[in-house]
Amino acid sequence: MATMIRLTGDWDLAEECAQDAYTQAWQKWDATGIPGQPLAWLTTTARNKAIDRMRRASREAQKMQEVAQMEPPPAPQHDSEIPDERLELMFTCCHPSLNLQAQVALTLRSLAGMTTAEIARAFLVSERTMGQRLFRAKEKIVHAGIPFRVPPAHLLPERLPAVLHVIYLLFNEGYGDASKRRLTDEAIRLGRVLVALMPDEPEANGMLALMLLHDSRRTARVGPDGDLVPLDEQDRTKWNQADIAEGLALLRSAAGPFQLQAAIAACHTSAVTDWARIADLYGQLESSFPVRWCASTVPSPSASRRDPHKRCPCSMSLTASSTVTTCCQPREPTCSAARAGRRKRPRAIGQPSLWPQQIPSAASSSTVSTRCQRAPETTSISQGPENPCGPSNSESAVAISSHAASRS
Amino acid sequence: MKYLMQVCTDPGYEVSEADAANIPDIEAWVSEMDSRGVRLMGNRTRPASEATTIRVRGGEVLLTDGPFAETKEQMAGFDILECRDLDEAIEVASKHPMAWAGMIEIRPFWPDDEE
Repeated sequence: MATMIRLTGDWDLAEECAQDAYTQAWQKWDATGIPGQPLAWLTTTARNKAIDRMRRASREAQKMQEVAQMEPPPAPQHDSEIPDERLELMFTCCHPSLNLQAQVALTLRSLAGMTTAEIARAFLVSERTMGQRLFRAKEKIVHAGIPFRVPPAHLLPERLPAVLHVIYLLFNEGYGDASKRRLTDEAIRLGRVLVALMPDEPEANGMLALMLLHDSRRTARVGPDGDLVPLDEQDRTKWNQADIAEGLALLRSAAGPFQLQAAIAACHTSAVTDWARIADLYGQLESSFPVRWCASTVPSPSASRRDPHKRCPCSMSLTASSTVTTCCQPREPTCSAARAGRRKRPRAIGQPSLWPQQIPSAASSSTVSTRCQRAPETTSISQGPENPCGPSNSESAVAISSHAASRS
Repeated sequence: MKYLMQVCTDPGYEVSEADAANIPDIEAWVSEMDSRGVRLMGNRTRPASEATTIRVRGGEVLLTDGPFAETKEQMAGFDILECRDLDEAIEVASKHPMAWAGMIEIRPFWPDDEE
């Protein structure tokens, strides 16, 4: 699909031809067996179909001259000749001149292969609305000249956070909600692709680590009755040790926001929770990537248990500052407030409520500002239930609207 | 690709001290963009109070004193850019002093060969 987009510059055509190629493979390979170079076969087939269609379209438009000049690059003979262009596709889908919803939808459509109907269902909008959103985004990519490429090194600090942001947003959207589980799986899959393609980027590693470490405790986090299970009551044998090991191996000493949050998540997966280190990491997170916390800035389970009105870290408010977005730490019932909340609102498990990822850094502020000056849009991709962290529910809603306002 | 770059004021905004110290110089911007060949032409425009809006309705030419859009933000100038892609246009616009003090909108031209 990525190759076809580069080749044709037409997203719809690329999609249709890729689909045609898969259909033909499905019909043919049954009889002939899988060819030696399946990727090359698919790419060549899709490419030929694209050329056919373009020629037909050109003939209809009486632009034979263009067709005569059309010299497609040679078809690949071996799978290894096909460049991996998923990274280009990711950066194009997540270009900051597209609004966030469009970025997310395009990423799901183009990189996760989800249908428009599936994406619409995931974000609680009609298929027609989602179709229009995708259409407008693709139109803008083509007509506004959004490049199909990995940004040069000097732009990466601005552009990579947008990609990380979208992937992590997907993760949050699917987190803890069985019906949206696929989004979480896709986010992790895309995170792995990103890390494979950019192995030296600490923040890409950090984001994948963060997702894996959160996800490793997925089954232990919810009781049979659907209630949240606090960290100290979780059945640790249910934790996914392979995910934890993979996540820990991705931690780096670089202190970007994802690495710091992954380090915090890592503390939650150790046999004995090191609260002092967690407090220290939150301190670093706060000083390096300032956000205004509502009340207690540092999570302390003992403190929060003593005072149910003290908030756990996921209930922080958003400041009006356009450069600050926020909270991504696990919706973990580490505080008594959360326990109270779970009784009242068992449905709220794992629903993303706040802006799930912080992308502040001196280098990335221009990206964030770009986002913040766009037309108002929702903060969460869909308007799900509030944050499960108890008393913060109402504040979460306020935080969302104030943030949305700050972006308008 | 050709882009229209509208240079706009942002009356409610005050440039921070830090930005004020680093704000680019317009002459330097013009000479850099001209020499790179990305700026085809451009100029400042007189204030909105000196604009005239024209409509023809029922064959009659109707004139209004002032701009068509009743907003505080007003166009202060424009440039026509020829850039490789949107990223280059964004880079060019972000180096313009009014991106720091006001705001800039870039819009791709509608190509002649497209309907």
